[in-house]
Amino acid sequence: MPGLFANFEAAPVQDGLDIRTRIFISFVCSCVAVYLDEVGPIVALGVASLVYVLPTQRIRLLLIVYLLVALMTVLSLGTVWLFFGSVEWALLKAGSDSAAMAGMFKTQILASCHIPFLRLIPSLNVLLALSFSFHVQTFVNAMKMLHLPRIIFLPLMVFCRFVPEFILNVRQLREAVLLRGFSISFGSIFIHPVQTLRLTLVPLVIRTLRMADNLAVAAEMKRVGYVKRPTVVTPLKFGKADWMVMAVAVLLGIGLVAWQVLIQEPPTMRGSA
Amino acid sequence: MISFKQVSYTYPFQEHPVLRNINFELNKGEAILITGPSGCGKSTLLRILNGLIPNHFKGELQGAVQLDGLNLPVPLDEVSQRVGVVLQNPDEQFMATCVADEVALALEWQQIPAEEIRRRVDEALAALKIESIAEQSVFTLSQGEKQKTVLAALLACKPSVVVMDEPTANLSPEATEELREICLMLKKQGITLVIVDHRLYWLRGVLDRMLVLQDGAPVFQSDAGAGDPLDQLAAHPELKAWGLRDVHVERPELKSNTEAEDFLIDVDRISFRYPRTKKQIYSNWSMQLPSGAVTAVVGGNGAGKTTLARLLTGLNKPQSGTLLFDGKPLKPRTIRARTAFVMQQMEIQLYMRTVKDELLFSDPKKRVGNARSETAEKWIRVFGLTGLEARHPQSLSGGERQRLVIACALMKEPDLLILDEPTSGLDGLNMQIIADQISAFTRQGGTVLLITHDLELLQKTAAYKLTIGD
Repeated sequence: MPGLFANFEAAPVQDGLDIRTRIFISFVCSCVAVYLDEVGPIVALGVASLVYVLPTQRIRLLLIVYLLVALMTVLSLGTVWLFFGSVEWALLKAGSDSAAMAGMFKTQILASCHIPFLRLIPSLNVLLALSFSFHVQTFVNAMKMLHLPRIIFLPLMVFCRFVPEFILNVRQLREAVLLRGFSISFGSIFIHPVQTLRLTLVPLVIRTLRMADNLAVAAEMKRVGYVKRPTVVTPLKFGKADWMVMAVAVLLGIGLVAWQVLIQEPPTMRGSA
Repeated sequence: MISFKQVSYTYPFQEHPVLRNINFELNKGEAILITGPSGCGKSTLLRILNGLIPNHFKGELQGAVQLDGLNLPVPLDEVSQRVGVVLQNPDEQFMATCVADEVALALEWQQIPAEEIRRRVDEALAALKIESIAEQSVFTLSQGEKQKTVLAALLACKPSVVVMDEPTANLSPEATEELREICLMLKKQGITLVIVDHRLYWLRGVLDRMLVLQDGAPVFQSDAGAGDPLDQLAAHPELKAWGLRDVHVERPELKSNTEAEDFLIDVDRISFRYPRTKKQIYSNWSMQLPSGAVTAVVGGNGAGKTTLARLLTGLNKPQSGTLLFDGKPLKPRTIRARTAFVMQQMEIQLYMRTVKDELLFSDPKKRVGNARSETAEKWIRVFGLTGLEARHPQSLSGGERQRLVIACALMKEPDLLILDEPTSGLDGLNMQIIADQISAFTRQGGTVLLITHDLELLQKTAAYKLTIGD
């Protein structure tokens, strides 16, 4: 997930909301999105989550994600249309009475097939907002404050420290190989499997082993892991903005659920009204 | 404060000791330099000091080691409370991702109250004058800043001994000078310094003692009260035989690249910025690279020295302007076929099973029959790698690995050889071999672009300088 560590090269900018607020919003939004199955409320949720993600200014990545979702939607609609269309055609050819039923089935499924994909959009919006504003040190602090056991906390801390460097190493390795006159791409794995593995795995494994070795020594020197709970120097603080945004998210969620319930009132009750 | 009496050490499963008869004493606030050619046992001595021997590396430790009132061996955490270590690559000892957090980390794990941690972090940052980068990510720092961050983290823990492993290997001459000042400051605070380094010149006025090791045994030990240990070393009749670096080093005076007559590369009004960071590196910049000579690239951190190498090898493309190779614009692939670029990370430039295979793999496949093998053997010989042909490249020592990577670059028979810090962390002997081969390459008409902070290498090889930035 490149977005996760995207802000590594820039200075850490931790703006506004607490990371726990962002996690909470993602949770609420996803729950509501799963419940909703009417177009109106889902679109409203999509718009609300878009307002939430836009300030991160990662418009290009956002558009790419939307494009992928659109592509998936078209693909699934197309498959359904093709499948039921051909069944209907075959039944018609055979002169069967069930042809009309197959046709109705097709229309019905096509009419609701886009809902799961529409649901994806709000969830993706809030998750992207979370990952764009993700700052590793804050995350580590949050974990410290949650008093996770060492066995979970320590590996996570090392992982957060290790991954960006690993990505950097992979990038440098690709260039080193390129300079030797070879290019590593997805295709080369199939064309020259042995050589590609040799050019990538050997240096990466050696490099990673050395990094692990040094990190272990560094941790030992800092006496990391000697006590159960390290001091938390910069505790995370819930601000006014956090409470407000969380309240808005909850109210919005309740509102949208209520809207859907109103739309889906049982026909008998509507009839008696 | 520190005393070694008749100390010897043998690694597990080894017959011969790597350290023999080490004797020295060091008082509070004094500094000692331990030096010697690669493989002389310096790193092992450091491991005794930081407690890794015998806590991690078992082996057999003989003699008596005393450290700040402790009789070693003691558990590792007792040692690490007293001894702070600066590794050669400071990146490798970071555990946090931002400077202030890194400085605070060790204190947090000692469960010191938050208020006290904040005070100590501020003090340590101020002592090293790095308050301005407190909130910066450690991934964006220069080598000098990284080292200061590590030092600040050590200072915050109030150690009685600071051990530095090759502290100047990756530093610019300016940052080296700053480190010298920091060493003096630490001594004034009563901290005892143990420095292991190949570079000697920068320690003038810092040292109280000096120990030169060869094959694990001391060959030179300075006398207290007989003047600067460096002067004592310089006067020693056998100095030349030990393969050390120079005691006196001055910044060489180099001609400007514009004074040359023949040029291999013409850079005409290029502009470049990295797409991700959007930082403008060059705007409408022109330069010419003299052919058949070594040109040293001079410029501060972030001036674009490595970027120039990346543009010349086609790893990046300028947004505007032209780049002429022998008077012609070339495609990146063609440029890469005619250039060789030795990068700083050695591990990621070695792939094969044996040293000889590595050289054969670098052959551009122009040669036929025995010629390939013979050329490979020639490079093995001239780079002093004889006897190591069948070894795995990744199992070589630092100096051997660096020589092999440069040999591979020359095996390619490039027109242009770009070297990025080829001698960092190398002893005098290894540096001399590399300097000789760089000079031999230019005598045969090769062009070299040299990016280095190593003043001694510049002195021995460079003819021109190319200034980037101010």
